[in-house]
Amino acid sequence: MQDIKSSISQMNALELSAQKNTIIHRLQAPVKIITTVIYLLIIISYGQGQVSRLIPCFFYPAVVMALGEIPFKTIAGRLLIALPFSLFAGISNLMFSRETAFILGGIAVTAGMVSFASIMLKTALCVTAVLILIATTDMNGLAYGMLSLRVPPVIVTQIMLTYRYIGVIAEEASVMRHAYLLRAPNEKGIRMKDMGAFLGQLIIRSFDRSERIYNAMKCRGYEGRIAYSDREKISLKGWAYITVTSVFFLLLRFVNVSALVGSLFL
Amino acid sequence: MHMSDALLSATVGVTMTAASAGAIGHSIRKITKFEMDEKKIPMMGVMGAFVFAAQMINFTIPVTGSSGHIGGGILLAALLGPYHALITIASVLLIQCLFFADGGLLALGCNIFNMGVLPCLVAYPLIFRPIVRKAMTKKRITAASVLAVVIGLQVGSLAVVLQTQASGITELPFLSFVALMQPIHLAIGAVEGLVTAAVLCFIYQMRSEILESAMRDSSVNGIPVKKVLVILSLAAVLTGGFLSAYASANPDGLEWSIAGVTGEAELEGDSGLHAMIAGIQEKAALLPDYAFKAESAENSMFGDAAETVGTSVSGIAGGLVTMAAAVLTGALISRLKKRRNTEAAA
Amino acid sequence: MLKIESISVTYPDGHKVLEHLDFHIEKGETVGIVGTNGAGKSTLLMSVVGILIPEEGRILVEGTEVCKKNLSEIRRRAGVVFQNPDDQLFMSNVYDDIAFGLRNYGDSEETVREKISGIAGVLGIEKLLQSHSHKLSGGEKRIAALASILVMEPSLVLFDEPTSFLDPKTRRKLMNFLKGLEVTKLIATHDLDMALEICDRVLVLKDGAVFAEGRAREILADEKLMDAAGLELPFCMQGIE
Repeated sequence: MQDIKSSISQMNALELSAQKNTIIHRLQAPVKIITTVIYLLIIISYGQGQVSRLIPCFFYPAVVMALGEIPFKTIAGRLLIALPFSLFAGISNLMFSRETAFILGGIAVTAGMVSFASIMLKTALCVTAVLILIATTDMNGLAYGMLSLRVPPVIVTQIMLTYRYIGVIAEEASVMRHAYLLRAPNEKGIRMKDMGAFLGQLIIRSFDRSERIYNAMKCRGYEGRIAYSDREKISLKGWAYITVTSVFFLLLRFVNVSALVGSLFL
Repeated sequence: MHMSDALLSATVGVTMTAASAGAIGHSIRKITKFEMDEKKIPMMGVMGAFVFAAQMINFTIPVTGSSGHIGGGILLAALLGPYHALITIASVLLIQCLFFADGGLLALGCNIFNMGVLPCLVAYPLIFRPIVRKAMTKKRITAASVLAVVIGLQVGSLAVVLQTQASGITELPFLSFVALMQPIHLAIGAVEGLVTAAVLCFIYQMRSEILESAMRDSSVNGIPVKKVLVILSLAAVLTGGFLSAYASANPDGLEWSIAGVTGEAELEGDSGLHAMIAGIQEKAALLPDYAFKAESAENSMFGDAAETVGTSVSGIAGGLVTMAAAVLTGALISRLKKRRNTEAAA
Repeated sequence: MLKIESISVTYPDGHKVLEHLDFHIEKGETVGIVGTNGAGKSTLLMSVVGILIPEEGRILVEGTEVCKKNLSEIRRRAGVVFQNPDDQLFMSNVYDDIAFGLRNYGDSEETVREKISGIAGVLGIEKLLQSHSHKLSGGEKRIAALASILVMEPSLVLFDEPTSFLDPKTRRKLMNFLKGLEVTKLIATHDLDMALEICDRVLVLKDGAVFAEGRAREILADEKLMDAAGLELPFCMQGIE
């Protein structure tokens, strides 16, 4: 992970995007969660090297990003960070499968190149799909979405509390880090030998904070369970959206759109 | 060592999601059955935020000059108890997956398993707890932390290798992958172990009651170590052996299971939807026969690459056109929306 | 309204925080508690709502004794506004936070909605309801935390440093609001000017006991007394040129 500032600004950008009010934002959270999972399953179901088959899947992010008015920059920035991980795994394919798959304009394209390309495409599609979800759904909606998808309330509470306090603890950590670096001008980061005291101090502060939060909860009648408002049921419109997108995904999966389009021209 | 969606097959993704969901479900039952310590709910939340923040703080590793950060599984288990720690880590991983696309939504099961279940429910009860329970001293805390983190990370990275192999997306041979992953994670583990030890020793010195109360956590005594080991080794054999054999024979797990469900090989074109589409294509006189023929050349090492042989030229050309169409559609919608928005504003 | 009868609180390490503390508040009064750091202000507030149970003496809120079996009732009647709103706004959005207490006391979602829209109107925070708590400014957080307490319609509100972290204008707004707020208030604070302006009565704590008690204008203006308590005069009385 990158340093505190850029992480927080990444979260801010997505949160800001999630506050908009478009046709995609207005969809119920569980509907978007289900659609995203189906899309991801479809994407990873493609085998190695099905590059041309994967390309039509770009329609989903292209259309949803446009409808949801998602800033391209936010997604692209993250994509650049995510791609190197797959690059590492993909490069092995370049090295280990050198059989010629086909010849294009006199250049031999190896099976490895093809599967490498497909891994990169898959990465791009999967990363985009997840970021689209969070860029059009605010975290609270997502929490209620999870509840209506029967995720145990204990887990949802944990996610919400963690999400709520990331900024607070990160701010605390950031102040401590500055205080450290101001007194250690020759260091770029915190020395490993000081990490015990640094993180230990942060943990003790966090424990104290959780004690105060607990007291604040007690004062308002908390008895071990956090109550949420009633679960939202998926509307007819929601089911319609899920059905339409799923059918579209399945069509892409089982019809070779690229070859079809290609054959129109050749 | 985040496992990512793109390297995952559907089968492995679903299997690991089920495994992690099971472990989390078990943890929830444990922490609610044994005097649900209601204080721990806010504590877990804040500690989740702590791990999140702590992972953003890089520290400089002496000599090498490189930087590292903590994973936090063992640290959390030592502070909160293993079940609470697992739930906390799982929440952190989910948030990271959503906001930073670390790993991905389908790979979340793998990642929770590798970075949560293995350290919290395996390395902690088997290594950390027995060492520290005998006597809580700084020496023991240090030894326990380093050992537990190193071993936890080793099994975790091995799990990444196994899951990747079982998915069959990369071509990296098992042995080379292991030879690459394990030493790197040995080094990372040693560093993280030392930092974890330093943090826990600091806490022990300042607030020993925090560690002591986690150690007293009565629910932990109920961890059936043998049962856990048997289940895990079974799972390892399953994923490592059966799944990888299955995955290499059927590079496409979902397709295979669809064929299994409908009782016919979907690519032969007999199934309803497929036949219908084929029919439409025939009528439109667009059907390039070879595109479908090539597709059924599966089961070879590069079954899917073989498909590209047949469709290479038309596929690539078509792919480019399709891509352009996707981008254009998006651009067009954006354009229209923008115009409508400005009109609405005016 | 609130009766505190000779309570003593000792920390686990043996340090006596409160020792035979005695005082009472009448309905509708606004009482300030001032004193040095560690004088026992926060401990006193926590004792009133039973987060800490004194080992000696007893506390009565509207005649009901603060003890284990009454805690639920006590906490419905007496609300605490914590010093740091980040500790109090733990839900991820403001609406759920204000709803937290109501839901715990079993109000239906419909009642919850009505009460929240009522309090949001009073405090002028309708626009903030769907915001994430961590996105609010310091002043907004303070008001949201206040709303989460006032929505439960307590008859006694305890404040722990209500003006800390606020810029001058926001502090002024909050003080004006507190002046107009018609419930019994107990305010622990270092902000002596605020105490002078909005409290009817002040209680000076020193070493866990009541050092002085009386009308705000008299006590806070007594330079000798304030000095003996480890405090000083409010700024507005210091005659700074």
